[in-house]
Amino acid sequence: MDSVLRGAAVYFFLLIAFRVAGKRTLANITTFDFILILIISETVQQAMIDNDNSMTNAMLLVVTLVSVDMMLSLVKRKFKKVEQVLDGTPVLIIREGEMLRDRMAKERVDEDDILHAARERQGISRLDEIDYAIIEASGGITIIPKKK
Amino acid sequence: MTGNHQVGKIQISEDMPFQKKEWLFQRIGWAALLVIMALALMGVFGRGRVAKDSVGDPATFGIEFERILRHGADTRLEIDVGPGLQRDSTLRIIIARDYFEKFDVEQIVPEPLGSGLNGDFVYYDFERKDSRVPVRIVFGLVSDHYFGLKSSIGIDGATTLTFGQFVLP
Repeated sequence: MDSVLRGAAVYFFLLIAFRVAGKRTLANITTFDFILILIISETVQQAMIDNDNSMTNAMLLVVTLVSVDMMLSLVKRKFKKVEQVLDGTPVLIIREGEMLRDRMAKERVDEDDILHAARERQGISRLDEIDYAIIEASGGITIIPKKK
Repeated sequence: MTGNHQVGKIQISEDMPFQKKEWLFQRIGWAALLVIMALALMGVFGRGRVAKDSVGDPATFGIEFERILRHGADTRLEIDVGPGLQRDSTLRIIIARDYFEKFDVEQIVPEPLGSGLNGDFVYYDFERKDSRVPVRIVFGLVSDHYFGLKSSIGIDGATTLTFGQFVLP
């Protein structure tokens, strides 16, 4: 019983923690963001396992985490509002070439982040070549270039 | 997503009223994270000044303990015994059995001469050649329990102290 409760508790705790942190936290932008994710995984590992290093405990935890994730995905499919609450929604930050700076500030995104995504994904080097930019629910930035 | 709609030349499931609520939730969440950190530094979640407590009088018979513990984490029970309060050259400490069953005993300093059960109590006998000298006995414990705990600890044939602790998961 312990393992199932621990696994579920850690899953929901991380879900809330990363929703509070915002979209960009999980976007793996810098080396340190990646290291943060690694450290967090090590931190919660012991809390889930407690002192039980048995295969049974490990399997029960995997079953719990996968089951909770599956159940949530079914609930999200059925209730779109739940999906919106749990996953978030995309946010437009450049509309028809115009930067929406208040939204960028709220999402903690600046011009450098947009240019970084533009270079990486579209090979674009200037902001005035961007028609639309969207921060997706996953935290990544999608760039739609202006048609030449 | 809740529903794609046209914004300029693109279709997107943006929902600005919801997004504004999300931003507010995040800001409240950030403030809550700071408050949690401050409380943790104070020991509200164990291992700090607020978590420590004591009962009795260390000059005669007193116990220092953590009133807020964490499940699976080390904790110490420090028992101070003043002059007297013992038979012969042996000091017998008695601890409520149902309390001790909720802990793993990692270490006892000094090493007891022996231990046993006496009804609802566990007893530990410690050598104490000079009863005029105060002594401190430390139990290193790891909690195997969750939430509220109450205990009685005493010197056999003399006084008993009771205290409560709370074990966080």
